[in-house]
Amino acid sequence: METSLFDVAAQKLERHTGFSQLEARGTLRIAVKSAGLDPKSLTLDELGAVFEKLMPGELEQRGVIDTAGACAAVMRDLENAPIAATDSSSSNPDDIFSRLAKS
Amino acid sequence: MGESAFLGGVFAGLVYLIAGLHLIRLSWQSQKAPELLLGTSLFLWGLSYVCWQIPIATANQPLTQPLFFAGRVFTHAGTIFFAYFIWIVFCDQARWARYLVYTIAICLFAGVAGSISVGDWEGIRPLSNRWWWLDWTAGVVATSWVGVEGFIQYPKARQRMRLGLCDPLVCNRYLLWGIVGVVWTVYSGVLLHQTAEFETYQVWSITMDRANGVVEAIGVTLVWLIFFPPRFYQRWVCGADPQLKAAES
Repeated sequence: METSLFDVAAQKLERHTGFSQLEARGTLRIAVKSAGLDPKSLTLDELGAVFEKLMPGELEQRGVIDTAGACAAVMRDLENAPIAATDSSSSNPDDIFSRLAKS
Repeated sequence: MGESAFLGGVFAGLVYLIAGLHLIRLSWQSQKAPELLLGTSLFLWGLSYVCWQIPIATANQPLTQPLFFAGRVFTHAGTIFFAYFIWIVFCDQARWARYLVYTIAICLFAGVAGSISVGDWEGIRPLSNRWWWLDWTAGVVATSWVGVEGFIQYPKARQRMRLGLCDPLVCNRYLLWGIVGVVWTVYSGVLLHQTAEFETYQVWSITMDRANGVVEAIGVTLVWLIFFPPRFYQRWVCGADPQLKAAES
């Protein structure tokens, strides 16, 4: 099975928080869904916004002490991951719908 | 048909032709399929309106049947491109969506072929031609589908907008898209009623004619706001969200 950016981000979250695989994937899925995003077609920018604005709150609720440090560490790892270079933005609905009204 | 439906049809045809050409031109620049599919669909719908309005405007009886038939073919071809657009934009991974597009295409084709076999080339005999229902239903499914997808995407886009991941105009475009789907579905309902009435009484009723004109006008206004949003509308949309205003300041 092909590894997605979501899978890689969940692995990094697991490593930096001490969560189990299930906890990490579940927490990330909740944050991604509450951002109105699709876990299957995430981009690095979108994950960046999730980890900056939503994930600290989610981690705090689950008893993580250094939430900002954990989020920053995950994002640092993700930026260096080879999968981060994959761009799925040109085929996502937002991108298509923003192109439709260009003059 | 009467004056309201005629004017509504001319107006709608023009808007669909302009929007279709605009999107086809964009597809040449972007080299992307969605713009081409939607542009082709709207252009074909625009052509279908031209085919319907010419016999009405000129009261040319010999041309009525061939042009109404051509209009029907253009409408259905446009609907297939349109369904394909919805599939690849909103649910390209979903197998059910692929089968839905195939089913819509087959039903449209079978509806026209069946109608021809019973002599209803123009598609104006819903009460005596069972095949009519096949292509009408396929059209309603396609227009309802776009409404459903628009309303599914809109709340998600609002969530993304709050995080700065979605442009307010794009978010609003999903809402308009959803409303367009509802309006087009209502239009299909009006058309069904109008055509059934015509088959029964052999006259186009004034009430349904006006309803047709109004629904048509609402639909094309929404299409115009999606593809050619005026400055005042853009300012209104971008200033409508208090959270966005707070984030900007």
